[in-house]
Amino acid sequence: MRIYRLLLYLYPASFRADYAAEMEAIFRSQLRDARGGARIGLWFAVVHEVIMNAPAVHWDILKQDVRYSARTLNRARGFALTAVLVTALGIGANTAAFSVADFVLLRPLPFADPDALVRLCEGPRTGAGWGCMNELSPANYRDFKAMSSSFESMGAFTGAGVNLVGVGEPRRLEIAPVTPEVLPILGVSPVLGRVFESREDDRSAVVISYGLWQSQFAADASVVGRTVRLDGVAHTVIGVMPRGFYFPTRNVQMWTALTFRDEDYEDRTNTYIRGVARLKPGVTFEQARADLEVIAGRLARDYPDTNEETWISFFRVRENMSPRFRLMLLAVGGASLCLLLLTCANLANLLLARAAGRERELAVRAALGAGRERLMRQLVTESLILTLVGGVAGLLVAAAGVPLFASLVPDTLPIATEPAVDLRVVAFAALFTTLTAFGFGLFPAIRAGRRTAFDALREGVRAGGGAKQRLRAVLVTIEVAMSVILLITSGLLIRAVWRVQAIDPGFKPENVLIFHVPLPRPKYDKPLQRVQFYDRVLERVRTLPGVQSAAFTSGLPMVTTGLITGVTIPGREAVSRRREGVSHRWVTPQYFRTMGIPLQRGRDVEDRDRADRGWVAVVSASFAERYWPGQDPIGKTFRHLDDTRTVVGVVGDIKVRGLERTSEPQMYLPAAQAPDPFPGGFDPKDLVIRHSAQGSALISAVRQIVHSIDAEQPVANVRAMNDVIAGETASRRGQLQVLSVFAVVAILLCAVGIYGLLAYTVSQRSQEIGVRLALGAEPARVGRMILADGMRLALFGIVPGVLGAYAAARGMSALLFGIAPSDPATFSTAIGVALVTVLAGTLVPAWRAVRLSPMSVLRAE
Amino acid sequence: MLDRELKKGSAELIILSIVEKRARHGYEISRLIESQSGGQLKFHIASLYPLLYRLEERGWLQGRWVEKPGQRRRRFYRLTAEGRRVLASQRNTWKAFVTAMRLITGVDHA
Repeated sequence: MRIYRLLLYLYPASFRADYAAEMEAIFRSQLRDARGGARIGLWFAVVHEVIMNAPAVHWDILKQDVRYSARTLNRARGFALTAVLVTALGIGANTAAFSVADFVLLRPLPFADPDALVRLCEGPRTGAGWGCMNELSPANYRDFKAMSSSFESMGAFTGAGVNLVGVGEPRRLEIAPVTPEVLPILGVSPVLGRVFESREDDRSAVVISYGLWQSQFAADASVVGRTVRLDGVAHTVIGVMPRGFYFPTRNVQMWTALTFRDEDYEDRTNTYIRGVARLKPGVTFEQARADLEVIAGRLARDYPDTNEETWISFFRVRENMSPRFRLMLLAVGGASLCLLLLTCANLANLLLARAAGRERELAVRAALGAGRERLMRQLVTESLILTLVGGVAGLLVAAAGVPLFASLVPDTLPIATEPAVDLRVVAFAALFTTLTAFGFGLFPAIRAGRRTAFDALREGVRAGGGAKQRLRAVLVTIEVAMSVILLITSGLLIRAVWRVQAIDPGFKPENVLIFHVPLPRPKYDKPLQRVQFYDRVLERVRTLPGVQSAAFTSGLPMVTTGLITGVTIPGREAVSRRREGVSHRWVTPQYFRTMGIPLQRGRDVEDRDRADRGWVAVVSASFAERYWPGQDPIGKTFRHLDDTRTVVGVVGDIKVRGLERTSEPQMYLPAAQAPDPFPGGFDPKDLVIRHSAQGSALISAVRQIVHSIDAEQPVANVRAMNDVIAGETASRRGQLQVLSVFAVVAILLCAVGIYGLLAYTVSQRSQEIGVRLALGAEPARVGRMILADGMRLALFGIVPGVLGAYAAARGMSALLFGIAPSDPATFSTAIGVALVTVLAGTLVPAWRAVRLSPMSVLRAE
Repeated sequence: MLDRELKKGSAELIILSIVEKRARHGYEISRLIESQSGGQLKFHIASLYPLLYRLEERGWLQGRWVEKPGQRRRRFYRLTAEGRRVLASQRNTWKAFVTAMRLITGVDHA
């Protein structure tokens, strides 16, 4: 019979309370009457019937509970809406934040076995920095590849831009020339055609991206075999990569064949490629690194002239992002956890408040025969309905919110910009919230079970012991603490952004338009051809109405951050450019005026600085200071490549590498004084125009001018320089937006939480307050008492909040750009805001307490 | 044993009919079903009681605990006014159904 009783446990407790005894008695008599095989048959039948019918009873009860809960929640709409809103915010914010963090930091890249994919570049001996510090030379690449035993396969790639002509509008494309090993290393098969093989005719083959196939080729299924012209040279499309495939970054639209000629191996300092490899099975990342370091050491010994300071940058493909980005994402993740905790505390408070109001109702129902289990079931069902609706609303919040996080996705990773809502994160946040709702929703039922119904009925609404009040107070202090943390961390980041935005870039970006006009080779192989192009374009552009000045440059600050070279000063020992690099640009006259770079001494590059005159240079102040400290640099000479140049002007330094990074000293050389032959990568390719007022009309005029001079020349990436500067702080501002929203939500929830608690306290103590007032207490004193309660709560929350915020600020000090983690202004502002919020939440209850009429309170008893 | 599906579809009608004349307890209901159907219908107690529970929740039956000396506590069920209405309606439905079946299949009823 014990077995039968255990079976009956499959039924709900309320059902068992009514029927278990009877069912057991009947079964006992049936078992008595049965003999031999019939007994076994009876047992089988019983087990079968119980298993088939028990779920139906549970389902019936659930349906009843849902109907009942819907009715009660409908009667308490304010509570239900608030609970749903709070749940939605908690789940939504967390889902959005963690979906992005997971997408960037954790999710495997869309390649075969992505953890085995590694990148190889040259790097400083110190091993400092992240990502690819210096590019590889073909000679070093060949040696690393041949001498290493850690890789299944290794390939090389580089970056380039080409003009795509003959398919729609002439278009500037970012491409990646790759060796045949590269695409197979990544392990992704093309959707059409094939990838590169080591064939002779693959030298003029291209593989295109899915996006390019859609946009430029209209998803033509017969695109394989088509001819396209890149910089005037015919290429054949051999394959199309699948959607979502990006390598090395999402901007690359096409892959061409990278080949090396014998002369490419001659100069070990001719660095322009990057390596990608797949680890051999069983070889760890550290083992491979050690292997490569041994090889680097050997090369340094064998070729001391070129390789003495050449070490390696070796990292997983997944890790190619700045530590700052990672920190930003972690900070956002931490903030959203704070918010989750806060919303759960708020939800718990709401449920406890509701519980207090329902004690009487539950007591009556218990007195009328409702079992404790039944009551608990109903309360749990109600909580689950709230969290379900809140969860769905939270998903909508998350879906709407994820795009806000788009600027937190670094563009150095081969992934798309748009993270999607991650269901695992939804599940986590939902679970957390459900457990909260579960736990606090059950409170009144547990209490109802403990005390006798009679007690509850007798004491009426006044019941509501100290324990529950204390718990609610604790929850409110948690809310205050979380709000303070969010306020302080967002405050610090705001100040950091302001500080970065206040950095003087060294030039004046307002009213400057930039156009990318790269001249293709071999069409513009000769310097004279290029100079003529620049002259003709500039001559006509400068006559356009609204144009104040215009020039060409080989690289704009913050857009092109590299182009580092070395110079030799007569009488000074030659130093490798890895240790003392100089940022160099080839410019046409009026560049400094157009960019607003101050000319400090001497003169600008002028029209007379042609190839047949003395070769000159304009240098930045830090350049002059480095090589001729304390001297007048005008007239001094130095050697660059194989040419001697004379300094004719000194300009202010600019932030070439970006607002937050240190830049090398700068050197500007006249475009007309470029050596021949000259690598295409260093050509002036950006047109800058300083204009007055409306710039938009200029854009089409400039396009027309370029088109009339060379119909096949695309004009790309037209932007305002101001947008480039704004882009420097885009991810910071994105993070800030997110954190500010969190902080505002936190503060509002906090205020609501405090208000709710104190309003309840006042109503609880209304009798006591009424008596006090009747006995002559000043109303103002009563009000102060309530205010003091509120402030006490605030303090208990502010202190741990401040400590937590300080710890968090120290953890993310790398993001604070020089603002101290304990910045007094931020801390005191945040504490002030928290106090004001608490005050706001306290005011109405205090006012109500003051306005209590002793007569009406006492009469109501 | 009659088809399971048939039994499921008619269970409510059967129970409401059994308690029409007077209040009965669960075990009595199950024995009466078996005897009045000539052994063709058997409701196991594990499935009967959930059904009684459901009918009571719907308000078609009213249950009452009765404790007689020397006996354990039993729950007696009787038809409510609503239950009577439902019983009448379901009877009509079955009559119409049976007539239709007879016409189509040529099956006579006893």
